Amino acid sequence: MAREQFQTLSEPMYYILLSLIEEECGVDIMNKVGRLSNGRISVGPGTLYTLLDKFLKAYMIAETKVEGRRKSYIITNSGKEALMMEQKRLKKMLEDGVMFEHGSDEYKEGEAAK
Amino acid sequence: MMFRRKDNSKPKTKLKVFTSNPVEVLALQRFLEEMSEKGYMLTGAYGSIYTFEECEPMKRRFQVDFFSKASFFDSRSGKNTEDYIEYCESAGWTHLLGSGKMEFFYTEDMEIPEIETDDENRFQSIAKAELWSRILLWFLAIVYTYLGVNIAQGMSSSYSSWSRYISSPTMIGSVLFFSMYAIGAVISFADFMTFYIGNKKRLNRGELINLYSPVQSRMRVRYRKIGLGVLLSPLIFTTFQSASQLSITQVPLLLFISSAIIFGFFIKSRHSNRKTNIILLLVLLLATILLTNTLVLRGSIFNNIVKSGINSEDGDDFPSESVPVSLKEMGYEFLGEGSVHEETYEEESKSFMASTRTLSTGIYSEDGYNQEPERDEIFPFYDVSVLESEFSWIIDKYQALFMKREYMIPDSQFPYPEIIEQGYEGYMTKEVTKVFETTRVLLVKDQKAILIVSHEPLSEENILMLLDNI
Repeated sequence: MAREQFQTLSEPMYYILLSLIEEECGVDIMNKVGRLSNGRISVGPGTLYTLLDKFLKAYMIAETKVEGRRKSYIITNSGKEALMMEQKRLKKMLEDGVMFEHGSDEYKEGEAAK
Repeated sequence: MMFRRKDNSKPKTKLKVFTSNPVEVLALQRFLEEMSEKGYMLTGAYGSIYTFEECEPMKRRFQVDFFSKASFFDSRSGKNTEDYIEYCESAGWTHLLGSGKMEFFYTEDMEIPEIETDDENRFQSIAKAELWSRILLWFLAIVYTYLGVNIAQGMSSSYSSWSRYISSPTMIGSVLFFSMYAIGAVISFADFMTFYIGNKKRLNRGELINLYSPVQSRMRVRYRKIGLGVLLSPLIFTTFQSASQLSITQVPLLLFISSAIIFGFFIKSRHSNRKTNIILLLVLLLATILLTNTLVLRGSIFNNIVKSGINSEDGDDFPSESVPVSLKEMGYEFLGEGSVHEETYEEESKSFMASTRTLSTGIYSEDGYNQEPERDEIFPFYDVSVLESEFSWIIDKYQALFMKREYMIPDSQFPYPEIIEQGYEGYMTKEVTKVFETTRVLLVKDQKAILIVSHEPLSEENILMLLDNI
């Protein structure tokens, strides 16, 4: 059930999971997302909190340690899987886009036949 | 506190009323930003009432976030919000306070991202908070509809309740209130669904959600206040009119007194265009007073008259002029032992639909009070109720209910020819129980229905005397 809402990942979801490839403290994720995306993506604290909660419930990330109120997380195998799937989807989208941009052999043949 | 002045003098505080629903959160944020620019920082939030303390006037950004784990009933930030607040603070937002589901933050940094950057999350938390804020209203609508249906059933069950309800401003006020409340709840539900479905569609299309702008919100709040005024006016004025008849139907009024107080606060609270609002509100109030007065009360406020009196043989009386024809005048005698006296009672109530006047008089002996009388010891009495209405369907309905309920004396024609000659339609019935025997006479003429209930049937002469005097 929980997996269904993560079939495609939004950009903030994608970068949050990406930043958790290494163990990371919750509050530091915001900065890391900014770094990883070269400042293109910013995740608000409320959004981060809600998404971490959802990932935890879907077992896509796991809590590693709690120091006071600082909690650290790391991605799980299921989280990695979702990330891989999203990457595959994005790659496919990119390839299809390249074909459109330069024209593949198939595409050229088709055009020539006309 | 953190905004205390350097010279240690007590900072100026301010109290403001600002009504907004979760869907109008942008207006609330704008309001807090404007206050901060004027030099007032938020220190407390209690429903629609906000308190402020003097601070350095400057441009600050405010965010009101609906935190899903906080409860609607929280009055301050709880333990479960600590993590979340820490996230926000580490992102550069200063937490001010929490109230219900709302958490208030501000920052002087104009660059840092908003607390909620994901529109789907934002939509879900706002929609959830909005749902919570309206659930009581919708729930009450079900209760009120139930009460309204009960009143309607009560009205059509017997002629006595029909005449009582239809001529009671309180009852009519309640029915008006219940119906308008139900309509209001349906509008509120439609409004919520418009917001919900509209934004859900936008999200599915990959668009950003559409929250009400501060200007739109102000309009919405104004409409709500007008609606509240319209809803409350019949109830308030009909209650003032008949304070002696407080009943379950006044409960909604008590519930809404608090809203009415906020409604009153509204005059002072508007920071923009204050004069226009005051004038608008006064005009609205005056119009509702006039309208209610004309429609519901027919121009008189205290018209629910109750009179009573005692006449006795030995002279120690509270004489009453309320009963036009006393039993003594009809030729009944003060028989019996002990202190024998005649007690009279008159009640009148009037609404814009109908008026009822009830006169009763009876001869009693103090000795007879504490024991059940034998059949032939019943002292004489009569009750007359006169129902008058300009609407003939009210009289027709009353007559129909009477005929349905009462068992006519078999094979009997109305025995008083002289009364028929005066244009009255007459019916006579008799009810016999173990200790009691009552006769009911119903006389209908034009827009008037007269019901006479007595122990023994009153003679034609006595009825004529009554008719001449009422």
